[in-house]
Amino acid sequence: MKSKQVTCIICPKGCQINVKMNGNEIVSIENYDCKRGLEYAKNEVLDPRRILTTTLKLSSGRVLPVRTKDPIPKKYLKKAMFELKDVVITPPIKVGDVVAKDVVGTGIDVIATGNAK
Amino acid sequence: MITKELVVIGGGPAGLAAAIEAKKQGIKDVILVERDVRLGGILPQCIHNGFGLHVFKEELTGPEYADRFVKELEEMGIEVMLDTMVIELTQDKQIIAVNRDKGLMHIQAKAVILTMGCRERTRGAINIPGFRPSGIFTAGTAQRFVNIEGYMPGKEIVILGSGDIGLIMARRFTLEGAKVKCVAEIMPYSNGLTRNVVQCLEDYDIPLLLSHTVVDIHGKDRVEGVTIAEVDKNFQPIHSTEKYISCDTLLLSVGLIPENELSKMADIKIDNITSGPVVNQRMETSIPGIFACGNVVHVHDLVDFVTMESQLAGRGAVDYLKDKIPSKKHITVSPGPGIGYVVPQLIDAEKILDGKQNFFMRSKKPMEKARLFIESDKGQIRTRILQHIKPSEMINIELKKEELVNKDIKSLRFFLQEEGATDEK
Ligand SMILES: Cc1cc2nc3c(=O)[nH]c(=O)nc-3n(C[C@H](O)[C@H](O)[C@H](O)COP(=O)(O)OP(=O)(O)OC[C@H]3O[C@@H](n4cnc5c(N)ncnc54)[C@H](O)[C@@H]3O)c2cc1C
Ligand code: SF4
Repeated sequence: MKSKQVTCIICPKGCQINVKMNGNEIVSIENYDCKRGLEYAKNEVLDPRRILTTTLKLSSGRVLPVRTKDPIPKKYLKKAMFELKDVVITPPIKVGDVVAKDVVGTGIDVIATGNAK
Repeated sequence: MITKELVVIGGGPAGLAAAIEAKKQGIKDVILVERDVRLGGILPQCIHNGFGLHVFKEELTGPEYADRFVKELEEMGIEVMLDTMVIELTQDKQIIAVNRDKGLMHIQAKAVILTMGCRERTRGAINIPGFRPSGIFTAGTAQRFVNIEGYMPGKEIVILGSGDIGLIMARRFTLEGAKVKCVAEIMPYSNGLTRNVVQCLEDYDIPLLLSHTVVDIHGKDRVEGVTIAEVDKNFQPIHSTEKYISCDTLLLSVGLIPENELSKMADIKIDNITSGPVVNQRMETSIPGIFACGNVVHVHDLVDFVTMESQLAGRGAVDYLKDKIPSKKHITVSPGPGIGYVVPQLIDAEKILDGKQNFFMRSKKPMEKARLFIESDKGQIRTRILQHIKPSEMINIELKKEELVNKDIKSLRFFLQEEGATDEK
């Protein structure tokens, strides 16, 4: 049995929630002060996800801020960075435009968060 | 001399929201002056998500948050002067601005809103000994290099101070392939939001060394390493704990200071604690008709509150332009034990807008649970239990107009008493 420590970020209290795991199954969750923390801890151990924000090169020089449209699995963050490393964007581009499709096979697109003329 | 009804100085989130609100409320002749080549203030470089949860009920990045306001501003046809710096402001609301095309411009305004934001504390402000090699940056400068210019200032990084910008940059550098060796924080607690500690440090196994500081910087031309040490209760380094860490870059994330050169020029009264102008219920400074909002008044952690405060300033300016009657009969607001500062510092209860008044304040230290007392010279107004208080997370309290008006109140004080602690009032 493995035990994982999860810091809840839902409210400023920051409970240190303890999750006991047997393989991929949750055995117990302890030390949370409210239900929201329970839900958060469950997701954090079973399928932690983050929105990736970064910049892509612009053909005109400088960079364009972008993000994944939805959160992607945390374990793919670095892979996604690698995949996006050599992407070059040609303006014009505006906020919300898709700039890369299906990052690391997650089915999730990368969209522009800034404008470039 | 150009004449304008309302001049907004600074095109960050504060200036944008204030200008839009003033125009919505019927002021036609508004101009926004920004020294940068684009609008948005500091937001275009804050490419991470976490903006707009209160205002838009969704999680946006900094550039997206700015874009929504810039679009609205353009749609409303508000006049903007970019690449133009305001260099002088007088009590009579005369403004001197300068840009390359037009040179010096004299503008006479009927009302002014100050939204110049803040700048970062630099190394000098915290006095670290050693040479001054290259490789020392404030976190915000590094953020600009990476996120706007697109180049990396270093490969092996130590960050001093756990402010949010430093934490955000720790993650950014790591994702870009640099090695962030540690974040050293002199206080026994983090100065950033918990969310950032988790998602920017813990996610990437970057150590956060609390009660630690940098005592020496090594290298002559370029940073080669730093010596860090643990500090005692009086923040004095304990020499036996000194440790050398090799790095080529030191980032400073040690706080922000409101940028108030113009305010001082116009003899606007400045609050010693916030380093920003003293303001009243409608964000008006000590000079009637000159308003201020956003980071120039006090440093905000959430841009959403900047927007809310700035809409209030916009409406305040409209009220002023309509009746020109200055606020009188002020209640003075002050921080008591446990509270660092309170904004606004003055209230004309009669003129509170929408029947409610927000007060923004910060605690002096973290507390698990405390009771906030709101007390006037005529007696206690209210108390409220607050949980998980941290100096890095602003407290926002709303009072109703009825609680303050027609009671002949002269002063108002906010203070905190830790639950379970003895009476220290
Ligand atoms: C370096 C830095 C990084 C930040 N990172 C984050 C973050 O990651 N997350 C977060 O939530 N908050 C962050 N903040 C805070 C957040 O961005 C602010 O709450 C918000 O931007 C404040 O808005 P503002 O309009 O008051 O100031 P600003 O955004 O600073 O805008 C002020 C504007 O005024 C202009 N200006 C100043 N003086 C003059 C003059 N004399 N003439 C003409 N124009 C002038 C400036 O060029 C600037 O565009 C950061 C702040 C700084 C300083
Ligand atoms: S578990 Fe509940 S109380 Fe604890 S940090 Fe999470 S949301 Fe807050």
